[in-house]
Amino acid sequence: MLADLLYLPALLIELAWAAIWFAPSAFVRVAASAEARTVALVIAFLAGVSEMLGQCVILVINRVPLYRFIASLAFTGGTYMVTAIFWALATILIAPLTRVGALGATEIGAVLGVVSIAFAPRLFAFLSLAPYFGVALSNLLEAWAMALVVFGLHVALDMPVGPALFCGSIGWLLSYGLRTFLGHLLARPLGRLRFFVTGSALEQTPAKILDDLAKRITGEGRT
Amino acid sequence: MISSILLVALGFGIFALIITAALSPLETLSWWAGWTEAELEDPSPEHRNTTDTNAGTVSHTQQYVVYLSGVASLSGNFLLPREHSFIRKLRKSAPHAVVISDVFPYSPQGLPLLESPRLFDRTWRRVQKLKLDGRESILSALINLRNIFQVMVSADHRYGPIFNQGAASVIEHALLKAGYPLGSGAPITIIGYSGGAQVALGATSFLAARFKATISVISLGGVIASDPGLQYVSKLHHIVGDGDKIQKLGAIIFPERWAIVPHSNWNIAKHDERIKQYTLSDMVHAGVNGYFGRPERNGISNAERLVKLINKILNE
Repeated sequence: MLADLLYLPALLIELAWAAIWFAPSAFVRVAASAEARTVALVIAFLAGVSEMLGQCVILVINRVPLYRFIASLAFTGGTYMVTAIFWALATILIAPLTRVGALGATEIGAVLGVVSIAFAPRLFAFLSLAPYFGVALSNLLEAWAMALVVFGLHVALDMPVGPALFCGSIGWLLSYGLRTFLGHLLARPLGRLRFFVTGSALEQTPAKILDDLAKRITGEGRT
Repeated sequence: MISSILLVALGFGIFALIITAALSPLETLSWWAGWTEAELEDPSPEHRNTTDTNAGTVSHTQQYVVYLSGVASLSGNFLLPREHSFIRKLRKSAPHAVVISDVFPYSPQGLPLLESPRLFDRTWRRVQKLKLDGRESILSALINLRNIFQVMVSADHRYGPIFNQGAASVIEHALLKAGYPLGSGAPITIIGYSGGAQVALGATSFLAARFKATISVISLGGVIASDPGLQYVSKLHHIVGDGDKIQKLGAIIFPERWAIVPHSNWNIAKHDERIKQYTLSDMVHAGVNGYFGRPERNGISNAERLVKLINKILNE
């Protein structure tokens, strides 16, 4: 009974750890197994939660209540799953432009699995909370995830390195562009959704605190 | 075999360090969000002048001096004997100034490490006992590490505006308790030793807004970032010992202090001559040959030389 309960968390840890260290077995497994693919999507979700934890300063500055804070973590986790799906779709759309050609129906799920599990290093994105060098650490994890997508496409889908690099990076760019485009297009409903989740327009930022202070001081004359 | 064990231990150590660093802004964040109950009490008239100052002995006070200790600090009320001696000398040499020395700068609420509610207050008390017994241990290094991370929180663009606002409130509270007449415009000088100099500078902008007074900072071997507080400080007096390698770290680890970033707060203040550096010979960062060193050389101790210089700055 306990073993059944712990099976999926154990699988998640095993896959994430192996993927982080570029173990081909992890990528081959998510490409082949629907169960491992689901776990990979959970990894993407948890990476989003971790990312939000790392960026939580914006929620805290806006004094978001604790329960809404937790809801925001889940919300960001969800957006990471959507990002993984976008990235995978963009990669699939790009593939025919390379000598690999169009991917087969069975390979579409494999790409989604590879892209999702590549989010594994971002499980540590909460470390970007660290003062001063946290932001650099976050950029490093982003680059690591990108390298894992290329590696995963190469080992799990037998793509040559060149097309894997092309598909992975252009796929990322396309998904980024699509997210930005949709973000502008759906700014109002997304803003309303964000307000619904966080209970705040999240207008306060560290820079705004300093700007307000500067206005206060210059308004009264600097010392 | 041994080398692989060492590698694993090193990796584990680095990971533990990063985790500790990641947890370091939590006190600031939870304080700002109001997730903790601790609030500073209002300095009502009956509470005033009860702080560790020489306010009671001073008439016609001209200026207020706040001393912020280095990263080895556990509490505003627990200074090292050398620091105590330095503060006594400073009070004696500057009778016109109220010197406040009981501020703990490494917490946005001013909550000393020895006080509850703190997760590790027992550990910190044990460290204090070891220090009092004159036994330095790895636990003592933990205090330095904990406070160094708070200095980095103060210097961080994301957390600095929050942390420094808290530190400014703590300093404001101490000044009011010491009898600072609000609206008088009496000049305020904050002396920050080591990491305390960064907190002093970070708090400056908020103090300038609250007190509408001239605020200057005296850094004693300060490890300082290019802080927005530099826009509001009337002068940063950066006192460095010629043998102090720690203070040089600030110039290296904070890229905005590098000459290749000419429009940073640091370089603009330097260009405007609002940063003045003083170099004292034969001085290191800490210890008997440090800024507060008491052994005399050529008839004068390091602490006495330092007090003399500070007095000169205060009288400028």
